[in-house]
Amino acid sequence: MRKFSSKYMTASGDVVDGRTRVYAVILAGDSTMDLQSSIALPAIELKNGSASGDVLLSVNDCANSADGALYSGTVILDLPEGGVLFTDGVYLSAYPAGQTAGGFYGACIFFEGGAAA
Amino acid sequence: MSWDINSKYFEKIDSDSTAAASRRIVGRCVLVGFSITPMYEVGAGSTFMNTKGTIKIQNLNAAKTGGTDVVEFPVISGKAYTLSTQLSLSDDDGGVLFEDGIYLADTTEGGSGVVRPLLNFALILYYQGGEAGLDA
Repeated sequence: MRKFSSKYMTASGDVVDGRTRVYAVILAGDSTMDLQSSIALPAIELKNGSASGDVLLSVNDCANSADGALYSGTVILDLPEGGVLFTDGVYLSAYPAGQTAGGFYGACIFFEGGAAA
Repeated sequence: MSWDINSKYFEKIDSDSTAAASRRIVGRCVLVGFSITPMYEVGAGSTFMNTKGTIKIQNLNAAKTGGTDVVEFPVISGKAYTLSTQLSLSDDDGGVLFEDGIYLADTTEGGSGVVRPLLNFALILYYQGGEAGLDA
């Protein structure tokens, strides 16, 4: 049986260093944010290794929506068996390009790190 | 090899009034799934658009009256509704180890102190004791 860890993030940053397999994510935006003037599509991204790494997981919301699902409820990513492999670690980008701070509330990431991943 | 998954149901955990004995699972166990429905307590001066907080699944402390965070996830409501949060880790043949047991708690913010998430219903799925095979 695999031993998972969990980490709660409230801002952009490193979730875990090194080879990691992500199995599930629970996240929420912030319903107090006014999205109607958003230029870029609201999104929360998990990248490989760093802020400049490849986007391997992304949750997007509808632009020009003041009450989209991402920003008014909890979103669950229950990934298929085997999860998603991040070879260089996991980086959470809560404010992708074009977004302003304040659109992200929190994310819980379930993962397995190290050689076992 | 498979083991029997235990299930424990909790009804309405209120931060102020629910005793520790009604929000815990005692003993080493492995969390493999849960279904949790939050509920928001709303009072004067609050708005539905500012209801947010987190649900915490903690490792039980020595006194069995609280715990340290192991799993924490956000709950947020856009209007007068919230959805249950359900997750199964057993599909991946994995789980999260709680050395001393599980304790359910929550945090809150905003709403001038009158809005906070409660656990309306919680179903915890887990393996008990050493049978799950996870090293301590």
